[in-house]
Amino acid sequence: MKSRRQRDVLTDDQRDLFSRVADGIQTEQDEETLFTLLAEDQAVAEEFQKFMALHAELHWRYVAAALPRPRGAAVDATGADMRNSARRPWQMIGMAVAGGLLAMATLLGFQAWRREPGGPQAFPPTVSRPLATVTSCRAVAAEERPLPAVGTAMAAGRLEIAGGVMELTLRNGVVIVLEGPADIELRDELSAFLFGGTAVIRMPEGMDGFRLGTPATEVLDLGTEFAVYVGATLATDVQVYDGAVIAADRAGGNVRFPQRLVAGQAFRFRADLLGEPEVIPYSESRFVRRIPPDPGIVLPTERQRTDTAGLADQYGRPTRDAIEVRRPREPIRIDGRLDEWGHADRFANRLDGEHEMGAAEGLMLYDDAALYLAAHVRDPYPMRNAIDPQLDPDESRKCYGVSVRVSTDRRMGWPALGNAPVYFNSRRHEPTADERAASENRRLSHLFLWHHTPSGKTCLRRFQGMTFRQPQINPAGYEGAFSLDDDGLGYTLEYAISWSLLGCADDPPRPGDDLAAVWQVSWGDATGRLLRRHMVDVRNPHEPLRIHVWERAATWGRAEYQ
Amino acid sequence: MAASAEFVTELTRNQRQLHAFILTMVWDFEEADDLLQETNLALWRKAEEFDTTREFLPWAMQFARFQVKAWLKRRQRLPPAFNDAAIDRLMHRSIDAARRGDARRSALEDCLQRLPDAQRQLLARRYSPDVSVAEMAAQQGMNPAALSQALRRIRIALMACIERKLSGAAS
Repeated sequence: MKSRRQRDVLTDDQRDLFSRVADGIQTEQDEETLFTLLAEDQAVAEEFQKFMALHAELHWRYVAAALPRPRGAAVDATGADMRNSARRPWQMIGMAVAGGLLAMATLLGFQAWRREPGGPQAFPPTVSRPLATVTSCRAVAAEERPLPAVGTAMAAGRLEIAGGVMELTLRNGVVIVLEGPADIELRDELSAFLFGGTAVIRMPEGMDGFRLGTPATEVLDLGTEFAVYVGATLATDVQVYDGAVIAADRAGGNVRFPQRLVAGQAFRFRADLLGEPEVIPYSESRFVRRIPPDPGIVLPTERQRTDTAGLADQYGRPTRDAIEVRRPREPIRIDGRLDEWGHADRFANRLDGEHEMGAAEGLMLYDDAALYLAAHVRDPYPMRNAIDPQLDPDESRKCYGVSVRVSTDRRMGWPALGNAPVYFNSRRHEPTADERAASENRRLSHLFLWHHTPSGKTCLRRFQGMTFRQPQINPAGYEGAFSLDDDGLGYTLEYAISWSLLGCADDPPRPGDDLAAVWQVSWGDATGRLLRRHMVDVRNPHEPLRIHVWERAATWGRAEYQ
Repeated sequence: MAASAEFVTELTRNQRQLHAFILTMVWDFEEADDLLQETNLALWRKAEEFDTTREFLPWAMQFARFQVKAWLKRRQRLPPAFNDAAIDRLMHRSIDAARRGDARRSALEDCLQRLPDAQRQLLARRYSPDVSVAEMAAQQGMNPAALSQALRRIRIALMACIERKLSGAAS
């Protein structure tokens, strides 16, 4: 009976009026009418309040079911070079429809974020009264030109960088250090939205109230310095360096405040979970808080991607198309010294223009149990890698050190078949069943080798196939060691990687096999977070340089097992 | 500045009620979201003043009320419909509604499941983030007012269904 009575309170016109207001299509006359009704008729006011309560409840409910869902190719999970992997890192974004899909995407590690209408520009346009000014840059890469220079003024809007670090100072003195690849929307002096990547916010003395939104959180500043990282899975990490913040988890559409974070604390908020945020280790070195004065190895001038000279600037000129993989003459001791490697074949290369500091050698040996990899790299900032493989698995592309891609597929031989999804996508080619199978070949391994400075660990990350499935971090089955050069300006690495880890214990390479392999050496900067240069060697000269080695296995050179 | 566990729990539990209260006066989700954030920030700053022996929502609503009034003033929109007495009434009704909040939410879920698929899908599109009725209507080649009317029918049906369920449960 009660509901019947309540329905009769309103006319259809009044219900339409309520709906127009709720739907944002009301006229000024509608507003005046509604104000009058609400002021003069308490029954109508009560019904309007119920109506808006339902409207709010539906909003909460459907926002919960429509968290941003990643969509797109797994290009950025490659751990490969930064330039192209960040081609459009948050470009192909859809709206999430279900937590299950989000969880699935989470597992796949897709890296993409919701793109709002209009999308980000490389740089918001400058205006007469800018919201922000670029106050410092380091190795900033952007998809679109022009690259910003220090002093560039920006209006409110989306800003996307593909790599490097950019420091922005808002007109009220708030400093944002943006670490690429990153996508941020500057809204006003006290708010921004981080779609992906890392931002460190530093408030001027005595100021508070800055709000940084992400797909999973709202972080409210209380006079502080804090870092926020939005990863590939839309999880948001919040770390407080100084002062305090309120971090509000809005996963599930419900804005919640499970914690007030103070200096020295770090939490992870998961968009796909409705539970409490996870306490994660605080790491002073995890994010770039300030741009160091020394740039490290200087980046070459940017050139067009199809410019062969430009590619050589960025990736070095391969010196070899093949490397002999010999058997050791004595047991290999994994100690970071290469005493047993005297007879091993090696490539020796150096970056153009870098002379001694850009030099590297790579060596390979094998026996019945394992593949042995060794390298000596001259580097002004050796073994400073700050990327924590446990905390930041998505950032492995920044894990500078050495990466080696090898095929152990004896039936396939050389050249190797298999292309990454981006290879097909960029050519608008729908792969055939055979091509898909080749891309999934688990005997194609991508091995990333680096020294994690904070923990002192010798790390290995392995992906399988050209689709980069089943990433493994520090799995069982390898042994590694690093040693620093006597002058502190270089390092030697030595790894033994078992055939079982490489998935071919049943049929390891044999003498006479020609299989595929390619090397890539990467240099970082003083922070241990910023990639500076790459060198690729042992590469198939018949494949164009414009095709990345992580895109197409046919680019890999030949490993000739002796 | 220190926030007790009770405070955090209460703030968490009452987000929807605060949001709905704000939305009733500002009508726009984005604006309501922003004001909710401002309210939360203000509450956190006063967390130490929260008396755990008293009810949280009436106390918190005073902060929300302040934020909304400041917003209305900035928008030069201070109609009699939202004068102090009217806001007091809104607050009291919101507090009453909050006491039945879980039952109402549960009823809403049941009622949503009873809707025809097409209506449920229309609602889902309408309440997806960053979707406006004007855009939806343009995409479907409809007049926005007609689309709003279609949504009105669904909402009214839902309200009636919820009331039936709540009165049924009460009896």
